[in-house]
Amino acid sequence: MSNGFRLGLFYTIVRPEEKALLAAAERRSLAMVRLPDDEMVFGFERGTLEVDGILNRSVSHSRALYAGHYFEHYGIPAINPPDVLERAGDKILASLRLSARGIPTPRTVVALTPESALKALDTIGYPAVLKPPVGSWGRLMAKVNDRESAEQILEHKGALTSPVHSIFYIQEYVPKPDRDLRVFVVGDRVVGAMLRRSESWRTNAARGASVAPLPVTPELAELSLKAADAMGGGILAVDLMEAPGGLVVHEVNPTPEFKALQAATGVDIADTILDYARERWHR
Amino acid sequence: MTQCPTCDAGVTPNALIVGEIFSCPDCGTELEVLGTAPFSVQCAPKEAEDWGE
Repeated sequence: MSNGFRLGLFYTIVRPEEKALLAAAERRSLAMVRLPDDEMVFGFERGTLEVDGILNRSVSHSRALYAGHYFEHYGIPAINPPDVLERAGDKILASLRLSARGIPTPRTVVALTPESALKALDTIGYPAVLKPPVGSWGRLMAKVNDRESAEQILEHKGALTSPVHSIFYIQEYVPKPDRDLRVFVVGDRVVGAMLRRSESWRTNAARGASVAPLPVTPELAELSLKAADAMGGGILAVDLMEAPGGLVVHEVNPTPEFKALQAATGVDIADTILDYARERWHR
Repeated sequence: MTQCPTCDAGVTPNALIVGEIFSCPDCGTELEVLGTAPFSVQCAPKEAEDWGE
């Protein structure tokens, strides 16, 4: 992929992941062109973006999605492509895909008004978990312990102006151990996995959860690959919980961070991503 | 060396690249590197609701 191939890096901010990708490209003398999402303007004319492939690493779901459609319009392949970002980046669409493929997930319902959300919470039972359909790092998620809390949380949600808070994604609270499982999928293989442990019910590494390497069992690999495939495949981080009845997939992340996973497993994820791009684009 | 836009403390580049986010060692404000020669920073962009993985 190094002979004249120009790989675009579409990004919002340079996190350790983007820094690792830039360093990995430099090590292999691969021309990596920075495409900061706050500086780009997209027109309909093709051929203005002088790159041969793009790693879409914008942290903004909206920016990644619309830019992804433009990359497609320009005929520039991107990882991940916009259809994958759209499915996996929206918890409702992701749940629909997982359900259609028969992949076990926490019991989930969606409501479109605060009134129906209250009814839905009563149906799911307490405690329940209320999540924004878009967003991650555990932000603005709520564990709803009883009806009184539900009424208060829904009232607070009503005060938020973003339309995303007027759609209610409601999940059963899974009584799991103090940890969840993250499996990093690249193409058709699992390249690493880790446990994320926290005293809080939210086990996001961004919230300070401690991480440890996780041996990948055949069951874990199969379920994770199926979940990634349900989104359309690519580079995806599959989050799972150990529910009383077995493993359940609760999220598939389409622009995954990997600093914590790399530290836990020793796998060079940035290099693995560039290898995957090379395989995909045959250069 | 440049100054943190929040607390005015001196901040120095330490293997940082353009676009990278780091915390001011004095006040903890997240800063974004605008340039390395000369070194300049601004407050990092605020996390939006659709930001994530």
